[in-house]
Amino acid sequence: MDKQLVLQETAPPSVGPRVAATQLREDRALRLLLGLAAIAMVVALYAIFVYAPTERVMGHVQRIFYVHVSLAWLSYLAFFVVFACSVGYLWRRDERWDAVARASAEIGVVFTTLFILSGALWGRPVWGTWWTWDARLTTTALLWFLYVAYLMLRAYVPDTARAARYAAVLGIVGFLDVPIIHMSVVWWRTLHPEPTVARLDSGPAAPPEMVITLVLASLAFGLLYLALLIVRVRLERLRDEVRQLEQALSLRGE
Amino acid sequence: MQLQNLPYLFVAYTLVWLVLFGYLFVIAAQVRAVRRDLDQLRAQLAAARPPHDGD
Amino acid sequence: MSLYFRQLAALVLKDLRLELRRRETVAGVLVFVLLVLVLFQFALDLERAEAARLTPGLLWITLLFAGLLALGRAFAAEYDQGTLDGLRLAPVDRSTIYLSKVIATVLFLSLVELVALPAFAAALDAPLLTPGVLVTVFLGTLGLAAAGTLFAAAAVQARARDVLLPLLVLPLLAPLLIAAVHATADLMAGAAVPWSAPWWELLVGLCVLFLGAAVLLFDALLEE
Repeated sequence: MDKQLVLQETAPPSVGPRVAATQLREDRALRLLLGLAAIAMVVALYAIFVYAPTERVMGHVQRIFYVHVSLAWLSYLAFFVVFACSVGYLWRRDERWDAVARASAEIGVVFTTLFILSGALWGRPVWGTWWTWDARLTTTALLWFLYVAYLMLRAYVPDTARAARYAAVLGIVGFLDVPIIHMSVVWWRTLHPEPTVARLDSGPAAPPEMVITLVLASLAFGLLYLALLIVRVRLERLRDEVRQLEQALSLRGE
Repeated sequence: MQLQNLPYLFVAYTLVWLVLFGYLFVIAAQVRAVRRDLDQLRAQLAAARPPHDGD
Repeated sequence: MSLYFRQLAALVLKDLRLELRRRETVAGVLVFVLLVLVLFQFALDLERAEAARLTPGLLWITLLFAGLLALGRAFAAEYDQGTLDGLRLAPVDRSTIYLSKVIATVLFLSLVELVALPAFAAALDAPLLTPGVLVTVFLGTLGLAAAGTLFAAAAVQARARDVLLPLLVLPLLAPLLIAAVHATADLMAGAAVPWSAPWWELLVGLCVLFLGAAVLLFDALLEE
């Protein structure tokens, strides 16, 4: 037995044909998606910097708005995915649901962080402060905390099955709470209006070019989100396989 | 006023792009690494299997 | 139906009896609240006019953290002594366990508030002892207990449970804080009992959300 293992180790292991074919298909699909995302990104960038008109008051800095709002929408979309997959996981108890939930939470916190940072980079030159407690920023800041709570819960619970269940409960309750958070923050803001003009939207009637640009930017980021999601879920799935194989090997007394 | 805020615009876009594509790159690299580990493990498992047929 | 209530009552009585014996939670939390009240005075150096404006906020921040302290202990005894399994095996609907903890927590916190509210009212010269404020405090406590109990069951089985619980619960309770503070402020300013006020509706809505979701989801938290 030992001699056979030694022989195996000198020659590079060959992957079974079925596994290789699946990998190839997955890679091709992903590459297609990434290609689409790249094209969408280029189109969006053109729209943002060339097509969209320059805002009268704020100037070119206003172009951050397209990225800022797109990231916001995607942060909420990602959290919805966390919610939907949490429901799916608790209902079906299939780990794949949980993998998608967790991936979406990770990506979501990245998007939310970037949203907040882009907001600060926009706010500073335009309104003089790095942060304004306007309704959208505040609500999304709370969303950031919900994401972080989700990820920390997963990190602090040692048993992975349990962690998945607990996180699913948080994902569900958190998402259901978001509209209430939004409502309360909006009411709060109407009672204590910001001294500076905190309207993050571009004034009374946004010119159609701006709306189109925003849609294009959101689509581009949406495709990127999808690509990130797929790769992250793949990573989780592969890690699970590794764990299973390691277990199988240890059972055989490796 | 309009032109002097361009640094903020630049930093914002650079940050977003670096972080998002950096994140994608890191996960993709991890996928590759895990795939290598997986292939190794599969080979080890295949090697260990023949002598122990009929567990 | 009556079996459900009898089981519920039994579980609540169990927690009450334990607390009566040890008197840890209520006494400890109460002293904490009074301490914080004193610390606020040192930290903020409140004058009469400012105190009026800040009282609702100070009161509710204090109640929130006091509540978290109490909630941290909700399942701690069971988990540390291994009697969580006993709860799991008990022939009761899991939601009964959840509701009994919520009721017990509300009762404990209400005992604390019985002393805390007059203390705040006296120290900050604030009209806090009106029926409107009392109802607001009750609704806020209920919401806090509802959300907190749900996640206390998760946190108690995690690492760093004392740090984790606030992280899980506070973002969810942000609307509760906003609503409770504004309702209290309105009532202090002399508004009539705001049955139809949006803040009370929000508080009730939150309680319904958390209680409802918890009753459906608590099973998943108590599984092996």
